[in-house]
Formats: sequence, C-alpha cells, structure tokens
Amino acid sequence: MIRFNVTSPLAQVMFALFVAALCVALGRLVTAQFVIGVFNDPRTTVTKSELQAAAAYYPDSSVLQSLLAESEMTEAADHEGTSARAGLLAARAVALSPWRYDLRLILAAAQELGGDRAAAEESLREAIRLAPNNAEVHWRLANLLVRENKLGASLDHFRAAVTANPTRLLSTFNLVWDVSGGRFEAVDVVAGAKPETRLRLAPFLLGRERLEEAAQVFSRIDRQARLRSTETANFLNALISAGKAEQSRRLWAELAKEKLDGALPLIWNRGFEENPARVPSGFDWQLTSSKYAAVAIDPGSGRGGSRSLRMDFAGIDTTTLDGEFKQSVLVRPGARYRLECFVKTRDLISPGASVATSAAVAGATPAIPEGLRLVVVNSASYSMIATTPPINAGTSEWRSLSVDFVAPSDVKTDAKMLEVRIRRQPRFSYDEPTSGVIWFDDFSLSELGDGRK
Amino acid sequence: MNVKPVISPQRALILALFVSSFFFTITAIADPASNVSGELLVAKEVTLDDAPASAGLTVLSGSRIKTSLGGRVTVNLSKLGRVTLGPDTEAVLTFSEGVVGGELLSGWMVISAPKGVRISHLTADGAVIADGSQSSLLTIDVTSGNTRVESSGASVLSGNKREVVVAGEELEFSRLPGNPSMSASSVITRRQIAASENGIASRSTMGASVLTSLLTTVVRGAVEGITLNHSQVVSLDGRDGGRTLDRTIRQASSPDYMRLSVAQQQQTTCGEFNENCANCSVKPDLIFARPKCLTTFAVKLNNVNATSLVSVRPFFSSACFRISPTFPQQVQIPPGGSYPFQISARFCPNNAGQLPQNSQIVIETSTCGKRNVQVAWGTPCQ
Repeated sequence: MIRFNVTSPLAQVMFALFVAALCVALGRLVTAQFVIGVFNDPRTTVTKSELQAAAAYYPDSSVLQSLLAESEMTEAADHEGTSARAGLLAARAVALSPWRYDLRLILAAAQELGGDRAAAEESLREAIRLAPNNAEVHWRLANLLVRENKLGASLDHFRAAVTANPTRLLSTFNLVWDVSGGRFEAVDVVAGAKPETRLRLAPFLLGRERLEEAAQVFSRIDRQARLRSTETANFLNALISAGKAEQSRRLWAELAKEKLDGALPLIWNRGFEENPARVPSGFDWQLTSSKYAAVAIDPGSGRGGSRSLRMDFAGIDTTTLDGEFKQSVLVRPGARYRLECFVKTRDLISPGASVATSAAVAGATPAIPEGLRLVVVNSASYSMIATTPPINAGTSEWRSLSVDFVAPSDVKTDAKMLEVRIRRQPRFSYDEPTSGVIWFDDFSLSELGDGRK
Repeated sequence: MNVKPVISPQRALILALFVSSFFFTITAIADPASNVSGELLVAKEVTLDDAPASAGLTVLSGSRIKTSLGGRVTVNLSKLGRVTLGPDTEAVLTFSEGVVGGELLSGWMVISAPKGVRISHLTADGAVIADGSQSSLLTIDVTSGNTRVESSGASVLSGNKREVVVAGEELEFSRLPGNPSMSASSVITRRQIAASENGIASRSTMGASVLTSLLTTVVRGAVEGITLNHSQVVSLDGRDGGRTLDRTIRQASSPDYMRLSVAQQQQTTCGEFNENCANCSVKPDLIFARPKCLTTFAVKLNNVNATSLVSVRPFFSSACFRISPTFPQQVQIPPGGSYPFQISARFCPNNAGQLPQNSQIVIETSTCGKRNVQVAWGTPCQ
C-alpha cells in the first residue's frame, strides 16, 4: 500500500485543490457524456433549437455537430443555405472524430446535397477504408457510384450490401436492372453465389419476363437450399402462371426425386409408393379430408405395390366431393389420352352409383355426375373435360376405371395443364348418405395419339 | 514534301464538334443513368416502385414513391434540391437538368430547390409551377381532396386560370365537380396563413437560455429513455445496425410540422359563454385497441352547434401506437357528426396495455376543449 504523508498546510491545500479540480473535470466529462448521449438517443425527440443549444454548449462534440448536420439536411428550408450549413457541420464532425466511419456517411450525404458527388465518393471511400466490412458503407457507396454513372464499379459493393441485408435485394435488383438497361449479367453479379440471394433473383427475373434465365438461375441453386426455402414453391407456381408449366414440373420433379430417369411420367407417384415431396406442388397428389370423407395413404392394401389411397366415407347425407384428392397433369394440346386407375370397394353405398352409365364422350361436358367418379378438369377454369363412369356400389376387389379424352387445343402455353380429381355432386339438395370405403391405386395416363384421328 | 490537307482546319473543327456531339448524344442514350438521379436521404416505411426502400437508395426519374401512415421520405436531388414526402403520401418524381417535376397522387410534399431549378408538379386539380428565377420552397398538400399550395412566387395552373402564390398566403384550388378535364373551369381560393412556426430559435434566445434548454431537454430525454417502449427501437436499416440519417426526427423540422394546417378563419372557438357549445362533451369515453392491429374509433362531439376542428394524438410521445390520420389532423366535424380515427398498433408489444405510455390519447377540439381518453388494450392480433 502506498501512503502519502502530507503534513505541510500548503501541500494539503494544493492537494485539496487538485482533488477538487479532478472532481470538477470528471463531473463535466460525465455530464457531457450524459447530455450528448441523451441527444444521440434515437428514442428521444429533440427540437432543432435544443440541438443548436447543445452544440453551442459543447462545440467539440462530433456527435452533436453531426446531428445538427442531419437536421439541416432534412429541414424544409432554403436549399442552398441548409446544404452549405450541413456540409460545414458534417465536415467539422469528421474533423473532430476522424476515425468514425459513420460521420463520413453524413459528410458524403451533405456533400452530395451540395452538388459535389466526387467529394462524396471520396468521403465514402475513406469510410470503407475505416470500416471495410460494414454493409451500410458499401450500400451508400454502391448507390453513389450508380448516380455517378459508374455501374460496373458499384456491383461488388451492392453484392456486399445485399448479402448482409437481403431486405434490400428487391430494390437493388430493380435499380441495377433499370440502370443497366435490363442486363442479366449485372443483376447476376449483385446476387452473388449465396443460395438465399439467388433464390430471390429467380423470381425477380420471372417478374421481368426473363423466363429462361429465371429457370436457369433456379435450377443451378443448391438442391438442399431449394428444398429448405419457402420461395421455392412460390417460384414454381409463378413459373406456371407465366405459362411455363412443363419447366415448372421438371424443376419440381428434380426436387421431389434426387435421381430422375429419363422422361417424367404423366402421372406422378401413380401407385402412392413414394412419400409426398418436401416441396408442395400441384404436380404431386394433394390429399384433403373433408367432413364427408377421410383421405389417407393406406400402407397395407396396395394392388401392385404395398400402398394405395383410401377414402373412408363418414355416412353423411348429400355427400359432396370435389378435389379431396387431385393431381395436376400436363398434356399435349389436341392429343388423345386414356386415364386409368384401379378401384376396390367395401360396403360402398352411394346414391347414383348403381344407376350410372358409361363413360363420357371425350371433349363434351357430361351431365351432372351424381355418382362418385374421377374427373379430368381444366386446371384454370375447373370446367369438366372428361369423367369416368361412377364407381359401383357394394364390395368388390380391384377393378379398372378408365376414361378416354382429347386434350383441349385452345391453349396459349407450351403444354396444357389439366387436373385429375375425385368428384361427387348430389343431384338434389338432399340425397342419401354415402358410406363405406374405396381404395385407389395404379393410376396411369397414356397418350393414344392425335385426337383428330 | 508539301502535303495538302484533305480538309481545311475550319472544316475539321466543325467535323470534330459534330462527331463529339454525336458521340455524347449516343453515350447519353446508351447510358440510362444520366447524372440526374436522387438519393433517399431519409426513408422510413417507404416503397420505391413497390419495393421496400431504405435510406441511401438511388431514385431514378419517373420513380413512384409511396409512404405508409407512419412513413416519411426525403429525396436528395443534389444540385436540384430536396423533396420531402409526408406520411401516407404517393408521388411520382421526375427530374432532369434544371427541372423537378412529377405528380402528387395523395398526401403532401415539400420541394426545396435552389435558384435556377424549375418546378412543375401536377396534382389532380392542376399544376404547380415555379420558374426558377429564385430559390423555391414549395408545399403541396392534397390530403383535403383539393390542392393547397404554400410558397413564395410559385404559380398555380388550374383549368383556364393561373394564379401566383404570394408569401404568407396559402392558395387552394380544385376543379369544379362534373368537369373532369384539366381545361375545365376551377375554383381558386386565397387564404392568409399564420407566420411559420417552423423555426429555429433566435440567436438571442439561444444565447440566453442555452443552459435552461439543455437542462429541460436532458431531463425530458432521460425520462423518455426510462419510460419509452424499448422494443420499438429498431434500426431503419434492419440488421445492419448501421447509422441512418434519420436520427433527428425533430418536432420543429419533421414533415408533420411542415404540413399545411387547416385554414384558421374557418374555426369557431367556444369560450365559457359560447352558446354554440354549452354542456358540450367529447366522445368516446374509452377507446379499445389491440396490439399488432388496426382499430377504428369515432370521435363525436355532443351539444356542439358549430363545426369543430379536431385533432387526436397519443398522450405520451413515446406511445407504441400511431393515430391515423396523422396529427395534427384538424379534421372538421359538423354538429352531430363524427369522424373515424384509427389506432395503428402494428408495432406495439403484446404487453402494450401494461406500459403507462400507451394508456391515453388526447382529443383536442376547437370548440369543446381538450380531453384525455383512456385506451383499453385487448388481446393481440395474430
């Protein structure tokens, strides 16, 4: 322990004065920090006059000088005066704290407000030197470079900015696209290599009607990243909306199945032997239970394999079904097709089942089908294209159920998208309950040739 | 050897000038980003061409800028000046060398331009023009349905009329009903406006009361710091944590303050003995709100026989919710009428009701005084 023995009265006075001066200095420092801290707190509301008062009292505070500069810049007043004052205040703030990169951002904004973009660029380059990995600085510099017609030099800075903050992706893509005159290469550089950003680039390109590039970007993104992303389903749906249903189905199938052998089957997962794909899509079976019937995969009663689709009816009157299970399929416009599946029933009671007649005429809209049946509808309008005969009531082993139809030729897209779905529409506002169980398995859709022959 | 030039020096000069001018023209066409572009200096809850925008983003001519109820934006147009858009405002901005223009579709805006920059802005009612012979500070407000302009020296073109806006005056113009065409006749009204309160403290005041001002600000700031809803403090630029140029949302210079106020001469104020509003009362007595939700309440004045100007605001400036339309609304409520206001509690935490700063709003009326109303908080919206 160090001890000072101050015995002389003069020394005691000197020491007391020293301590008092130290306390005053520390007190002033603490007060200054507190006052400046309060002014700099974004939660507090401070008027400009209060800020001016504080800056006058603490003229060497770079924080207060910069706050005042910002205040000048955002004030609706005489442009020349405020921009000149803002420039001076920001320059003073930088001079007071030359190692703070954020003050240089304010200085750059003030310099640009005064019309000096070259000086603003210099300030931002100095800010980058001080904070080379700060996304905000990259963002500011990238935008300034665009305004200076230096698009090429801005792209790397944009990439750094949006990689750190993907919320800026869309506005960046929009800007770079517009400034570059719609150059894919420019937005491609900005998106970088991260799957998250590239997954945002693909829909952007789709929105700009660059379908091929959109699909190309999407297909090259890491498969696992695509499977994880919520953007994937949206993109595939957008691709369908853009008239690229076949491309959408191919991209989806690559995600649904790791290895694809040759051409895609017309009906996906025809025997229900595969688990549902991780990315939901209309090109897979979509199962929805309703109050009238529970729909599920039955693991132990397949016809060819082990699984089949099972519908358990709840025995409710006026049973109405429409799309409790369904799948979108792609067909060639004008071609003739056969939809076939196998059906097994147990104690099936359904009004209209026994009075049903033969298959519908292809291309013609049949009368309201009262019995349970499979229908082929236009996936956009849901208008009926073909229907199978009603499923027979009672108990039976696997029996074939099929219908032939011609794919409509009035199409604008590359392939016509239809939908296979279960349907039952009661003829009257009341009919007897439907009960029992039906199994479906081994669906197939095969092209029979040209529909006009 | 004496070589005769193929073309004379004069011709060469002309050719060079022609080639260079052609080259520059081609360059300008090939490069869509001419030097005329702006920057979002301040950007809060704003979209640029329907994409969320943050401060620093470049604004190209022809961009559509839209702010939400709590939003604001200031566009730095460099040598061309600045454009500030208030909350709930939509505008298309166009600019080129020496000209700032566009169209104000809703809300209000302030254009500040230096001398030499012409301003030509359209609204549904006509055009507001400044010829650039002097620096311009122009406020255009279409929130009331008509176009109101405050400026000094700007002209207003509406239908077949042209009027000059004089300093200290506000000019309101609208097309006559049933005359949708721009050439149709219109109504232009002049009004005297109160001296601008958009002020900076005078130097003498500053000198005299620096310490007092500092003291009051620091005490208020410290109290706000303790009572504020800290969950609200989010950087405008999201995860960057970067500093924005919008820290100084000051009462005096905030866009709300710049907005044109409702014409004063139309007000009827009730003193204690004013027969128009004896035994008056302001309703409702209690307002219900839900965190994460937008809820509506109607303000009504009972026993008031004159049109009232009504403004509603949170009692505490640190409240998590906003009132829409934005304060100072000064909406006109006729006798027996009511006006729907909204509490936007989108950013309120689930426990908003437990925080005292969210407990009250203030309804200020020109006829029946001021009333504090309790806010009751329900379950949060999902």
